[in-house]
Amino acid sequence: MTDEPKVRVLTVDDSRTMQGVLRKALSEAGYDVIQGGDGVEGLEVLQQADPMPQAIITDINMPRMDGFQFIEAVRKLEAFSSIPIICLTTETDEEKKNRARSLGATGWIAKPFNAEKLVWAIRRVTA
Amino acid sequence: MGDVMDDILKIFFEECDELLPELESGLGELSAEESSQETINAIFRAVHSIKGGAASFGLDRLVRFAHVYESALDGLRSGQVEPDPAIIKTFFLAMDLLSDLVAEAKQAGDEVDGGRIDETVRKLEAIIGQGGDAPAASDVGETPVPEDFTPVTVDLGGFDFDEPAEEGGESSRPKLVVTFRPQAELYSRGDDARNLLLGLKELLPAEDAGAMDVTCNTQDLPVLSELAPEEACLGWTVRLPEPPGGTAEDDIQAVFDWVGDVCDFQIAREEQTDDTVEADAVESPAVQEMAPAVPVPAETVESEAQAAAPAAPAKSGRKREQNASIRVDIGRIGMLMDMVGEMVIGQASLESALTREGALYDPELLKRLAVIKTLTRDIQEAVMAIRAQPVRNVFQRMQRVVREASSLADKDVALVLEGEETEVDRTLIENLTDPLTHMLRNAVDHGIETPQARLAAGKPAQGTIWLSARHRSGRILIEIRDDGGGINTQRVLQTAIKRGIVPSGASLGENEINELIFAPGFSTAETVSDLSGRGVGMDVVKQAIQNLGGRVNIKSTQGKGTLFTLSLPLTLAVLDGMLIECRGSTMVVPVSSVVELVTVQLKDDVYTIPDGSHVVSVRGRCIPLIYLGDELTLPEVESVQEETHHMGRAGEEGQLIVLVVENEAGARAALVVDGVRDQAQVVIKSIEKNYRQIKGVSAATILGDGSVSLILDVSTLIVSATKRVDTRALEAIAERAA
Repeated sequence: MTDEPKVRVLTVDDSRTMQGVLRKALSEAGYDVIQGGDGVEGLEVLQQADPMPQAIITDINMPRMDGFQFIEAVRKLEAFSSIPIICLTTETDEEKKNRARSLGATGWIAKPFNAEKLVWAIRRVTA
Repeated sequence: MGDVMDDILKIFFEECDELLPELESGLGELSAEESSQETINAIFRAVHSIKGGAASFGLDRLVRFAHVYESALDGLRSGQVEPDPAIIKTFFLAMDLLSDLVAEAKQAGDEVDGGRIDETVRKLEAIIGQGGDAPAASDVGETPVPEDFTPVTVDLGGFDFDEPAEEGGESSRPKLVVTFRPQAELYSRGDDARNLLLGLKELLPAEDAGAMDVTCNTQDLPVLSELAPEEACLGWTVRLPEPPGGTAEDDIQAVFDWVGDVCDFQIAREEQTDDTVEADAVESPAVQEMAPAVPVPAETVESEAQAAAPAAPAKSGRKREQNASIRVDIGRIGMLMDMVGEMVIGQASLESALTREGALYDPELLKRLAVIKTLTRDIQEAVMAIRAQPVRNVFQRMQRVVREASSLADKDVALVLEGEETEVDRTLIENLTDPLTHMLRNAVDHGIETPQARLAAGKPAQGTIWLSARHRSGRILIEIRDDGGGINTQRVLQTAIKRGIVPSGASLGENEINELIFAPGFSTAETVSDLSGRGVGMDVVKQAIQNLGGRVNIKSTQGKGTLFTLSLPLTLAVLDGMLIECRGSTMVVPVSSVVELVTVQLKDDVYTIPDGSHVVSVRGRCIPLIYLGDELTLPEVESVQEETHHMGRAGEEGQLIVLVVENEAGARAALVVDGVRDQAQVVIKSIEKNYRQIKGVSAATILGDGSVSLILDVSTLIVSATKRVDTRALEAIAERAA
């Protein structure tokens, strides 16, 4: 990953702390990070991003537009119908996982995460 | 990396400062039965976010507690727990503890007692227990955290991103055979078979990477004419040497973890039998050279290209405007505010130079100056608006103060907040917390009676304290009202005499007695309780309010309650002033307190009452007259006296120029001045900071000509004037005048 252009990742989370941690972990692993503070903002950032991100990491529990709604909305956008979306959440409820899956989530990471897990997940979908 | 983490930690604490009040207001709504599902979600989210953030920094105590709290709130969120008053009380307790744990982590507070954590955890667990099948938060104790939740600190240790070497020694170890066949839905979720293949490859140590053997199974692939691009037709068989140490199956399972429901896969072990390639299989060369996996619908590629161009700028641009906000360091705004202040002075000095006697009079120039003046004012208002914040945060903090105070005093007290939206300058807000805290503790401790006493007096057992804020004539009024027993004037007077604050035998009016509680060294509590007896008296509160340019008024009705009114300026920086002349000095009267400027006839309108003081009748109302020069003991100036003679108090025409002023309580006084010079915006400079407090003067300012001028404290002047004048005499004169 030396001279290649950086892989761009969009992170969507309403916690600024989490956003800071994500940004740090991902940039240190060599990713280009763009961020949105909730589903609504995430969608805006996504649609305006140039170049487009290659993966999205999203929180589930957010105000205004939660992660489920966000995933659904992204999948409805033709350009992003196949972008990998990873849910980053403490929800361990199978039912919620299934809901996320049926809406089009690619995978999920349980919070709290470590950088290794995070990078593994992104590599898992952006290989 | 330390620096970045420190920055993020700072953000985390800032965020906690935002989330905790949200939590508090959410719980408040819950307890007032005004909550919606959204409120409950917000409550949950606040705790959830604090936990999540804390986990990133290894703040274990905080994380563990937040986790239990969150589990209890989850029961609420899922509807398994009904929020009865006892449960809400526990949630409040837990919130206070959470906020103390945040303070502890911030190293801004004392270490939180482990016993207190245990006790709160027990209470929360009882709630979790009610939620039936909600996950119980394991054992009580200092570490009440379920096994499935271990805080992991972000550790950004070195990762090896280099591609593994292609060549590897041929292994004779047993091989694992993984066969998988993705369904179409795997692709529609944004995943890809290629990801799975690479995931498998990563399981191998670098030297074995070349030993992975991939076969694509195309038996389901139809002929081209029947090929539906959205269908998934391919499967793969992967042979890989079993990594040393075994347990590879779990790792392989992990690769398929996300796709278990949309991808059939099997793991088998193959013993030494080499290369059993199926007849119709196509061999894939090295994994990283694989083409993007099927299916990639043609239109996806196309629309990706579209989206790479700026997408729908008009629509999203407008949307972004709606909630755009940025965070700015308060120091920068403070600096801006100071500069605006200097600009006001600079502009005044420009104006003064242009209009000075002898200066070239140029109406064009003055017109442009007027434009700049308007702009300056606009800028100043805009900066003030940036600094303005609703009092909500401070007010909501008071809920906890009242809660704690009432539980310590064994009283039942509700705090009702009004006008939380009222915006005030940030500096004021910060400095309000301490005085308000103290006053509310006092209200609980001394104001509200015990439930028994209340019932005996025919009141509800629960006492109420109202805390309200509103704007009035350029100031902010904060009222603290309770429905308690009111001030016991007898006892206050006795104490004051005992403490030597007033001489024994003094006869004081009710208001004067009430004022005594602000006297230094006064405390009526017979036993110094844990609450108010913290070495801070009401005198300190009064001083703190005065330092903010404010005043405290007190009104009390025996048996009915007490009302404290704090009146504060909206800002500590600038005010609109009327420039007046008095014995050769220019002084500033805040425009907000000026009622009117009138000329009165010395002969007809001014009365001398028996005690020697003067009152003036303005529009049928008698108002105490204050000779400003005498009041402030300004020296008579010879050269100016000539001038004052024809305008002033002993003028030939027998007229006085009188400025009628009013304080927040509505009391008026008439200031006798020599003349009015102008009306201007002035920048407030504290004289207490630079000199000392002067009675009747609140601050100083620099005028356009560079001279220093005093800003009058109208309220103190009015109070001292009305004290001197016997109100009965005033009424008598009013009758006579009418």
